[in-house]
Amino acid sequence: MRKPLMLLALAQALSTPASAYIDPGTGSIIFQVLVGGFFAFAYLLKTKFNLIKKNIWPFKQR
Amino acid sequence: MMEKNRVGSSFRDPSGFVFAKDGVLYRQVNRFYKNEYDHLLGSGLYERLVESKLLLKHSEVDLGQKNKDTYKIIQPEPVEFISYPYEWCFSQMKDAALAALRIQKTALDYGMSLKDCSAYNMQLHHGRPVLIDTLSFSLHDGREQWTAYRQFCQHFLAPLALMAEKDVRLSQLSRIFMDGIPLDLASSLLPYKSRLNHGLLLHVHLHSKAQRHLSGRKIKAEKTGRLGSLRGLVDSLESTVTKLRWSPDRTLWSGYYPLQSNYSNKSLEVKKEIVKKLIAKARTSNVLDLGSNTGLFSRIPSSMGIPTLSVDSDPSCVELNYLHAKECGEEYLTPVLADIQNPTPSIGWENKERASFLERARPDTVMALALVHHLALGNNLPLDMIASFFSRICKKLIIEFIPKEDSNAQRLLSSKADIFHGYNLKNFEEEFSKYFTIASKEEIPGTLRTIYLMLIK
Repeated sequence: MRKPLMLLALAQALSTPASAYIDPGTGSIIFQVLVGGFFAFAYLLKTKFNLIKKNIWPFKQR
Repeated sequence: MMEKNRVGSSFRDPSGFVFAKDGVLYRQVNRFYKNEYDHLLGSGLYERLVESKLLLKHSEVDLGQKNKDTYKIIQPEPVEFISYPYEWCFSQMKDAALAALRIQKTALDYGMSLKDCSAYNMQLHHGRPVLIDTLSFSLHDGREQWTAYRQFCQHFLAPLALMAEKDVRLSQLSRIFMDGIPLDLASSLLPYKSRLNHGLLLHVHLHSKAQRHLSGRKIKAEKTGRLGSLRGLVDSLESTVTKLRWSPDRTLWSGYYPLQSNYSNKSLEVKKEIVKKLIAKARTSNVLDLGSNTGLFSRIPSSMGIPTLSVDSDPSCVELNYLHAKECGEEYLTPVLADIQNPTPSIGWENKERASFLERARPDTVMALALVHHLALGNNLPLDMIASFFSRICKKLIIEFIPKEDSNAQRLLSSKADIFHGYNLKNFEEEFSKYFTIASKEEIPGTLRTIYLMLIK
C-alpha cells in the first residue's frame, strides 16, 4: 500500500513529457525518474572508471 | 496527389509521411519538422549514422509537387524487402534492438533523441538492421527521460526476453499486439527466474508494475531528472539485451542437410549445379526461396549477386541461416521467418497498415525445392491449386517434384491414408503447364527427383 502512494506522490511532483506523438506512458516516464538515480550512478561509475583507465592504465588500449 | 498515394502505415507522425509515385517510395518532410530535420543534417548526426550503416541513406528530390505542409521531399534508398518483427529470428530481433540503442546513444551525442522506437522502423538492409524512418529524431530537451522507453521495452525487450527465457515462438505475439507486447503480459509469461536478471527485473517486471499503478496520472511540475540517468538507462537496456541468448534447437529441419539421407554427397552437388544453371538461365532480378531450410540453395543466387529472400517456418533454421549470413557478410541474402501455408496476413488500421507477406514479396523467380510434396501430401493441397498459386506470385519458377516413392514423401504418408491418387509426375506437369511453359527439366541422378525451370505463359 505504501509503495503505490509513494509512486503517486512522485507522479504529482514530476513533469509532463514533451509533446510526443506517441504515448510515452505516464507510468513509464515516472518509472524512469524513480530508478533514474540508479542509472545516473551506474553511468557516473562507468564514465569515471573509463577516465581512470584511460589516464592511469600504462598500456595502450586497442 | 502525394496525400492520395500515402502508404497505409504512414499516418501517426505529423512530421511527415511516406508516399509512392511511379512505384518509387518518397518521404515528405513537413514544415512542422523543419527544425529537427535541419538539425539532423546540419549537426552531422545524419552523416555519422549513415556512415555507421545505422540509418537508411536518402537524397533530397524535387518532384515539382508540393502542398501547404511540404518542407522537403526525400527519396530513401530502396530496401529490397520490408520485413516485420514477427518475421525475424531471435538474432535478427536482438541485432535490431542493439542497433536502435546505438542510434539513441549517437543521437544524444548530437543533441537529439529518438522520439519513437518502433521495431517496424528497423529493417534488414544489406544484411544489417538499419533505421528507415528519418523523421524519428527529436531535439533533446535536456530531460533525463526517454519518451520511447516504453515502446523500446514493448517492441524489442519483451519479445526478446520471452524468446530467450520462455519459448522462441512467442515472437509471434508481436503479430497480435502491434504496439509491442504489453509488459504486464510479458511479465506474467516470463518464468520466475527471470526476476533474478536485474535488467529484466527493472525493465519488464517493475516497469510493468509502475505502468499499472501510475498510468493516467497527471504530472505537473517541471523536472529534468538526474544528470546521466538517460545515458545510464540506455546503457542498462543495452547490457540487458546483450545478455539475452537463445540457442537454436537441433530440430528436424535445422539438421536436415547435414543428416538427411535422400541425397548422397554427389547427388547434392549435382542438385546445386542444376539449380545454379537454372538460375543463370532464368536471368532473374531477385529470388524468393520458399522452404529454404538453413539457406543452402538460397546461397546459390545470393552468391551471384541476386537479392534473395530465404524463407522458412522453422525458427531454428532461420536463426542458423541468419548467423551464417552475418558471419560471412552476405549482403544479398535475407533470411525471413514465415510459413507459406499460413503467410503473414495484412494487419492494422483497415487491414492496410502492415501489408501481407504476399503483397510485400514480389518475386521475379520463386524457388520451391522439396516443397511441393509438403503442400500436396502434408497439407492436402490439390496440384492445380498449387500451380495456380505460383502462377500468381512469380514469373519464373524453379520447382522440384518429389514422387510418392521418395523416402521423404513416404514419411509424410506413413501416418495418414494415401488419398492422393492424382499426385504423380504426369499430373504435376499437366497442371503446371496450364500456367507455365516448361523451359528446362532435369532429373537429379541417384534420386527419384526432378527439377524444372518454368516460365509464366
